[in-house]
Amino acid sequence: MAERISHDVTPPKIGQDAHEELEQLLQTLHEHGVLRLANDVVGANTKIASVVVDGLGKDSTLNALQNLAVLGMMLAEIPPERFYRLTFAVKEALDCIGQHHPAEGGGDAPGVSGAYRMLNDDELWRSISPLVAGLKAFAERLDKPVDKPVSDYYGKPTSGP
Amino acid sequence: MDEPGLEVLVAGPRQGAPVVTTQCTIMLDGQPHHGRADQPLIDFLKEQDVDLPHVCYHPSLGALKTCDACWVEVDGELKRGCTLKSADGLSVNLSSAHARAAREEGMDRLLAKHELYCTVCENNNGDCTLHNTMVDMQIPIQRYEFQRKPYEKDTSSPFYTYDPDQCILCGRCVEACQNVEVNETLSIDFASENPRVLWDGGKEINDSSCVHCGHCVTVCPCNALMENTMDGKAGPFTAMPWSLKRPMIEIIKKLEQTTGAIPVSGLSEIDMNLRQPEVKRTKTVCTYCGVGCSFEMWTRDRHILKVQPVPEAPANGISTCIKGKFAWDFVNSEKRLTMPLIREGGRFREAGWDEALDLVARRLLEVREAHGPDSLGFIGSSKGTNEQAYLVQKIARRIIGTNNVDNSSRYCQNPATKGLFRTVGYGGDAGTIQDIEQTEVVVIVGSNTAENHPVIAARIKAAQKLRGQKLIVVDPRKHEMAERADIFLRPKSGTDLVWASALSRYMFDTGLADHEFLERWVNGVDEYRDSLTPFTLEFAEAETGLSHRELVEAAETIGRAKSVCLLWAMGITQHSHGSDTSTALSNLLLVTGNYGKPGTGGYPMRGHNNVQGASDFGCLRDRYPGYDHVADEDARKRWAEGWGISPEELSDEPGYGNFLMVQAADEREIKAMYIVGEETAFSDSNTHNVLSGFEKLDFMVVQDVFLSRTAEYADVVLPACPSVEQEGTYVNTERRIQRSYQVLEPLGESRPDWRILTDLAARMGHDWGYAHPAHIMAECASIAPMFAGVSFERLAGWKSQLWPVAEDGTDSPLLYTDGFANEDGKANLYPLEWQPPEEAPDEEYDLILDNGRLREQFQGTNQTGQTEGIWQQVPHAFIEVSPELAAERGIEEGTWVRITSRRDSLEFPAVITDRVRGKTLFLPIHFGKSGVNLLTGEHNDPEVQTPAYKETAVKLEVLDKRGDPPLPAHNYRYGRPTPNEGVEIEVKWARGDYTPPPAQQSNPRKM
Repeated sequence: MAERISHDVTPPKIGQDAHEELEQLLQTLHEHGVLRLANDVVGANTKIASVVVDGLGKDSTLNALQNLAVLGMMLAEIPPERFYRLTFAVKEALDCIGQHHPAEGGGDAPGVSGAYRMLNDDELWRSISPLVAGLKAFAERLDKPVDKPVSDYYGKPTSGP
Repeated sequence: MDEPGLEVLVAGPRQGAPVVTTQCTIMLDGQPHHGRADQPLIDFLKEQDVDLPHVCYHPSLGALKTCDACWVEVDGELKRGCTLKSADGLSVNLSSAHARAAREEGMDRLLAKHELYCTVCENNNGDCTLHNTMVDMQIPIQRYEFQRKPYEKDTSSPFYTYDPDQCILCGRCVEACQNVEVNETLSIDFASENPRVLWDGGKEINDSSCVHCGHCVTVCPCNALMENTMDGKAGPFTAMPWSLKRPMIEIIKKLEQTTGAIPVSGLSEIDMNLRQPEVKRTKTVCTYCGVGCSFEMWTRDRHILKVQPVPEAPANGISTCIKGKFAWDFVNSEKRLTMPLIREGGRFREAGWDEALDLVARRLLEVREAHGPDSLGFIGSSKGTNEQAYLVQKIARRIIGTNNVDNSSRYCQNPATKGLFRTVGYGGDAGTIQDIEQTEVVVIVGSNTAENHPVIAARIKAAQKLRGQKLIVVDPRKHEMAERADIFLRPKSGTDLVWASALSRYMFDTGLADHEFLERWVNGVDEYRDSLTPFTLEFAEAETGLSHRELVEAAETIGRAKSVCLLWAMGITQHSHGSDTSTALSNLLLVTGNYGKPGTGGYPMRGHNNVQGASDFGCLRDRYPGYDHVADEDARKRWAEGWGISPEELSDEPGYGNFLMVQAADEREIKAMYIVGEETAFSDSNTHNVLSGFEKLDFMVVQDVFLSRTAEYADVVLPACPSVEQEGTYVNTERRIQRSYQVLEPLGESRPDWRILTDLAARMGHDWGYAHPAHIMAECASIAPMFAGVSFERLAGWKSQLWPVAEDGTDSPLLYTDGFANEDGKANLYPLEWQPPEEAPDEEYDLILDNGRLREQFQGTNQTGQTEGIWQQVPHAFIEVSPELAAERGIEEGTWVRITSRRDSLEFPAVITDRVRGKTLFLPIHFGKSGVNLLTGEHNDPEVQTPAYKETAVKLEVLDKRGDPPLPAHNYRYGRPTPNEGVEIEVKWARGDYTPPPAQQSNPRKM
């Protein structure tokens, strides 16, 4: 005679617990070589640290770091719209300078008085003329109003993302 | 390469009969592209690896024309690409500046309605159409600023959420609700000031007619509609609280004004790729009803993120119901069995597998030794795989030597199978769901299709709504399909044989019988016609209560139709003469020539996901796999050879089905039972006798996912895996064999059924060596001609096969095209006599108790009951009482009543509804320890011993107790759907402020 039995089952463990997930993470790190790299780094930490310190201690590195900090300080002060105008003005000036071809740009000196000898120096004029063109482009770009850099960049108006 | 204009055969999106299609060449940006003709351009180009950006187009929904993101130029004119179809001579310009500008303007308008925060969005998993299209189009920055809409997120549903702020008003959800599921709940009012998706015109989701089928969520191209199970779970950054997400989003939005969207999209692309190793997508087959829905299940570790149906799924496409889409919490339920249990000293103790299996093997062999092979009985699971069913019957027949093996089709569908065997020869649906969709007239008899087979019901509703299919429903209960029917007949319960036979006679009498078909294909016409003599319309009127007009209208509609599909279910089979009534229905189809042609045939609606397969693969008391009869000497020899034994070792005597097994246990004839995944203590009739039988067994084994009501009587309980933790195949109601893949690892120590049974057989001295379910199927296919060409390889991915399957893999979507499955290739008309129901109301038991399933629950709620949201929809048991009876007895909504049958009594609160009429009650079967079967009796169909569950006479006593309405006011049954034709895009275009792209839009957020 088998009578009905009411029985509460032992609740199963569902999903990974923290330890199992950690184990999985370890396995993944191992398979992808990250653990080996980390081991190597930690094992060689004194030597690596001395290389890093040597590198950091050089004047040039310290200058670079300090200059980056100055740049950061400056960038933090400039509204993006103004910085965008400036950087793209520089870019366009550089583009203009880069596009200068001495043979096409004309090599003859202007021969204007006041700098007669200088301006009659053909070589010098050839050197200056792209800078003048760049300066012109730089000034033109600075004069152009920009509402949103992204609209100006892509030429597509936006009322905001 | 195929020549243009050449016809080729390809598999259609729903695999079945090959589709004849024509090839064509189109010109795209001046280059020729060759492919299938008459195909939506977007799909055509996709097959050519050309991406035409689009958002609202979906292959299962067609061209909605709402997103304005797919513009192309044709003959210098802009056209929406989604509206074009491939054809010779079509020349499309995709790359013109004009088309590009129009597409980008369309996308800009969408982005004005949708806040992009993809990296912290649950939907950024690689299938977010909006995100992917935006990235593919390389939109540098959106033209229109996103602004919030004046609506709150709707979180009322326990299953999904609607966020108006993320909604792009593409209308996919509306189209799916209105014209695929045809629940007709969703709409968009484009004429309003701030359009949004509306439920019942403006209700909260959970207070509407929404049935939570999930169609809208499945097709949503972004995160506006999302499964709650996804919330916070999908990606590495999605779990963050909104208090953190919001400022992060604002920071990115600020930066985006300088950087543009492309670097931010890059981040979301990285995030999307980060998720891929974690999110696993696995094809599985639904574990609930017999429709056989298949879909991808998305998981992350053991968490089920969502069920995602796909257009390629052969039976269901993008469709699901509330259970298949949302009721999967049982998989990770703490009530799961994860250790074998052994009865000891009136308690269960946990045991290891070795101990448990050794004990089972030893005790089963001891019982056989002591009492003979026929003292053991086996019940295979109609929810488990085919491979499970095959092994259960193989253990019974090959090791024990008995044909006492069965499955739960005994309780539901054996009468239908009997009716088909008697007439046409195969015990399965004559065709596919596509045949039901394309037929001229669908007749539904005794089937609450909308609740029990919701996806098939959706196909019928769509065919009726969109293509004018005629629907006839014959049922005592006015369920949803009855309300939608063109003709609704409401006969007296149990009289279906009478009207069906009267209609057959009417066909002969009025010249509507298909004499050409009958002469060519059918035996016994004259004898059958003679047997119809008593079935006049007058007799039918008297017995069924249907009017002459109703009978003639139905007969004329069926008789004059070019094609008819007839569906039936438990309302026919669970009667004392269900086999005869099933036969009568099949007779009617034969008389009208409705077999063997597309869109015709008989369709018994199988109730469990594998009740068809459990029978097909041999869990029947008289049939080997493939329906070889045990008394057929040739078949017996073939099976003996296949199993490497002599034929004499296999019994040629039909055994006991499960109904008789339990009775035999009560009479001490059966001494031991092995039950796999069946809740016999709940589903067999007259629970008192079932439990008494269990108590008298010497040894009982139950293999199941939960400690079921049945398992509580077991001596050994073996913890099995649910469908998503094992691989195998299933057969749906169409006879479609589908492969299901393993989604999750078995929980705890639970094991797949096939492995448990293989291990058990080995411990009984039969080491069959199966290492994978594919090996089991291969063995079966090598012996059973019906499955000769079935293999796991041929079922890979979304492929399926409909039996019978020839050795070369050719399957049979539509049966009887070349004759019938009887010896002479002809069908048989089977004469019948009318016999009234065995149990009917009398003076004392004056009411009839109908019973059946609800859409939200399944059987004894062992699975659906683990999902809290399901209980929120239907929290209590109840009984439906007609308004007439309620008025007569003074019953109000929530009044408790005592229902007493000749067996026992149960008490329920009343729901008063015109779904039932007069003196018929309806009781959902799902609730309580014993459900309806404390009340039902053991009277049964003598042909197949299916209990007459639907023939239960009862009396009703009104109790002095009243509670809240048992069905909460938010239940979908009280909703008021808003039917329309789908997305009303013309309303949007008619707005004075709508301008077609590429012109800019003044208020893109408002349309």
